[in-house]
Amino acid sequence: MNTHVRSALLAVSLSCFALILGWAFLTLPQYAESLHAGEQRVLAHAVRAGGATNLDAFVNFDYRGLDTMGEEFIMFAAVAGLALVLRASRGELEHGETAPVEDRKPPPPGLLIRWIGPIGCAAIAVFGFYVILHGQLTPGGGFQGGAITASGLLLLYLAFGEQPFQDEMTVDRLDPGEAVGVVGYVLVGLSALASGSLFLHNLLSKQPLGQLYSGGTIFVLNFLVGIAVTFGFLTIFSEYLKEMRLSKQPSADE
Amino acid sequence: MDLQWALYIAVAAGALFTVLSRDPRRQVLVFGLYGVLLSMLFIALHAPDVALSELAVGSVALPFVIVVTLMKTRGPQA
Repeated sequence: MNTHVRSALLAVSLSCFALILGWAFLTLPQYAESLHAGEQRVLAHAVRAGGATNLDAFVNFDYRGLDTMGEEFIMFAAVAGLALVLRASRGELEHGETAPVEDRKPPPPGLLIRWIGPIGCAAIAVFGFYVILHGQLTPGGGFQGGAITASGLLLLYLAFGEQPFQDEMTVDRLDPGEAVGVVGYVLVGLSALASGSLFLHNLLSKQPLGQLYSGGTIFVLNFLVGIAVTFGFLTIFSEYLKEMRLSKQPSADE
Repeated sequence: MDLQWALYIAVAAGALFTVLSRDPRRQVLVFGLYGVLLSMLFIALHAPDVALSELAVGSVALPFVIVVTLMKTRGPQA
């Protein structure tokens, strides 16, 4: 199968796809004007009994908390697999921490980033905590706030250099942090089982709508997901930075 | 509605420019800009949670991973 046949096949399949996609776009209902019966019932139930104004978070953590638990485990498995592969290839699993090998000497951080880095990181971290804790009220939630917080902490790597960053983000601080988030989610669900309800049933009382604790267990689950996601992202950043540390000349490997 | 259409076109153009950038280091930067445009499209489509996720992942995490992988496979170039 040479290039011309492949290009012809691609043109045919792309044009069919474009036709079907265009037809689908034209027959879509007008945006945000029609609600299905199921969506209307979820809306009514959410505001009246769920206690959350961020319906996305309500559906994710109260209605379908089990699916969100699966997503948490997906992220945990991805980070664990990444850490396993990279740490094994560096030989850290048998011998503990490898000795840092510095082949490249990056220039020391300038004055501006050394000042703006910590200040910006503090501001971003506070905003990230706000997004995590207000998941049931305003847009955001555990995953978004965790990603924002971890990205803010990456500013410290820019400001202070790699070695201080790695000295703080050690393996025995990051691994338990992520485990706390994931295991805590399961424990909250199990505590609902222990009191006689369904798994992950929303147990806690619903304060007046709009308050911080109005979502019941949505608040607790958001917090745990935020912890898990923050530490998961920090593990990803830390492992990749360690990979950069050991990079030698590519001609020796290829 | 006009904002939605403008953002649709901007996102399509951003995707096109991302694909047409041949140097990976330049492509990473264009991809970051494309991520911001996509996040604005999500906001215009009344999905702020998705917009926040896209911002955090597409502007920080994904370019970081790509840059480190590039450095790992090509050696420490400037």
